[in-house]
Amino acid sequence: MKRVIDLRLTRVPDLPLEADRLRPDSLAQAGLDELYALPLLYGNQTVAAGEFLRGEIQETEEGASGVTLILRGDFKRVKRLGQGMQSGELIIEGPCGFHTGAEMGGGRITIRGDAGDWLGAHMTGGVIRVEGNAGHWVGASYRGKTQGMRGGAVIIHGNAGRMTGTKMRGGLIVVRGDCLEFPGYDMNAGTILIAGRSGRHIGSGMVRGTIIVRDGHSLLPTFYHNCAYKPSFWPLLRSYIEAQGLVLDGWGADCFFDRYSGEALTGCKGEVLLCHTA
Amino acid sequence: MQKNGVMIEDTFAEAFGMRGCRLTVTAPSDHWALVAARAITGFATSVIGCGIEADVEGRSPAAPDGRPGYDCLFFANSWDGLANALLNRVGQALMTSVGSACFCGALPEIAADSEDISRFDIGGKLRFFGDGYQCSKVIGNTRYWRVPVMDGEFLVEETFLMLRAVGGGNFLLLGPSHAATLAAAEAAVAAIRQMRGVALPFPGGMVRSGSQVGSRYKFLKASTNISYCPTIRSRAPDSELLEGDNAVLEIVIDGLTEALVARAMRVGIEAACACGGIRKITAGNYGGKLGKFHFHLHRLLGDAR
Repeated sequence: MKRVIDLRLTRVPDLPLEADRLRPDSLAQAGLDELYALPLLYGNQTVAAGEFLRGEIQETEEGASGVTLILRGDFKRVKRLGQGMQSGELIIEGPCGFHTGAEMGGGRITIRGDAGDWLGAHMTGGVIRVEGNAGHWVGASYRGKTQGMRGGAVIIHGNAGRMTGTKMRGGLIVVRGDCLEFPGYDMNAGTILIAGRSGRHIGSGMVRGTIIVRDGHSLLPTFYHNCAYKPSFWPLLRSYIEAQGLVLDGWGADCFFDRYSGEALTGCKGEVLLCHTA
Repeated sequence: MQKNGVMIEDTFAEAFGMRGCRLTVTAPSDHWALVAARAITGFATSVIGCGIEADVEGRSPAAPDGRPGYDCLFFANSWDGLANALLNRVGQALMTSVGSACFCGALPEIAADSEDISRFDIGGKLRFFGDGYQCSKVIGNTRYWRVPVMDGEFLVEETFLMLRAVGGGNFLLLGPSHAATLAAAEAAVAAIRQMRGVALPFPGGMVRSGSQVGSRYKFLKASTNISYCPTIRSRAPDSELLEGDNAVLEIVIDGLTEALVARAMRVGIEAACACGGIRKITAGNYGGKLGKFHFHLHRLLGDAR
């Protein structure tokens, strides 16, 4: 059975609202009354979700089974949407706040607007697609933790902020636009692709993993050039990104890349691939 | 039963349960993809002497990396036998081939959640050839290993799918001349090669040295099929040949499923009969005591749709 929960934000919260309970997999059985009664942290108080949300639930036998949660409105001040979700689909028709999709292990989040900081932090699976821009610390690790994102994919159609993929341990982050400083900082594994301009200090402190860029003007001197070649995995990665709904103009399957190994200070097992035919 | 003037003997082919696998090999050009495919399927005509049976199935309809590619089928008697043989073959025959990459072929013939499917490791073991410089890349839910080689990187999927398959479907063509028998066999092979999911592991898809179980020599577990050798017809105690049967060729078929082997046998026999020029088609069996799968020729042709 296909279950669609369609909710609208009735008023923009004055204070940050922590909505980690708003995730499709935990609402598979909930009725509207139960949903409205969900306790959410609002400032230093607990309020019922119904104070901010109104909507309807539709159940149909058509199409694939599963739960889709649609949130409409300006959720910029709503944090932790879809946090820890394991399955289902969350569609946010508008901007959303910090920690969206953090620690998620499966399912799909689509954000038709901008996303706040810590998008997909510590995620282990699933796909997050942002049609606008994303904030800082995408797929990163929280302070004090040693591993950030470990799996899944974050596809950003716009730009991303600083520290993208910090301490990332797996998974894929794609930024179609520009990315600010320190992408892949202390990265341990996984893949970051920045199709636009990259900020300085690409891969600073990276131990392993792959950062693919077009703009390598700010590559650190601790990265050493190896060769120019066509990585055999690139067509596969490109196809996967396209399957997620993002076409990278000018990044053909036959692209040539300059391969740099680095960072020398941390063992040189990481790589930066500089696309020079994009 | 007669078909286009060819006698179809009322007998059956006896086939065995095997383990099967499909690999997709790709390369920068069609030429090099075919070189790689031929290399990895080489010396793989019979499990008796090669430990594995293999064939180039055809061009890959959708190679994962978008490059020219060929699908190859492999069959062996056991899970370990197939896994070990493929590890050696991918390492020695494929990784050495220019610009090659190796992917687990899709198995649309079998339901994805079938208990007949299991996974085994190739890339995860071959990676050590990289001597510490290898690295992996996870794309979607699949892990690929990137082994540095002298022309770039050898890309190989970490694990591959293996399924319970069928090997040893067969039929024999008995003709009055070598040329006529070969023409009928070629027609059968051409028809079978239109199919997916079946392998004709012998050279050109056919075998002239069919074998019997055992030998008068104790050290030999298989010997020439004396019942079908025309040059010793009068000397062989149980020759199946008549006066005028001057050549015999056998088509041996391995398939991912029993239904595919049955269909391939039917398609091949019909093509050989349509070609004409042969006297009789029969099949090889061991009295039905050894193989789990029996393909009765009359039933196969009776089921033709």
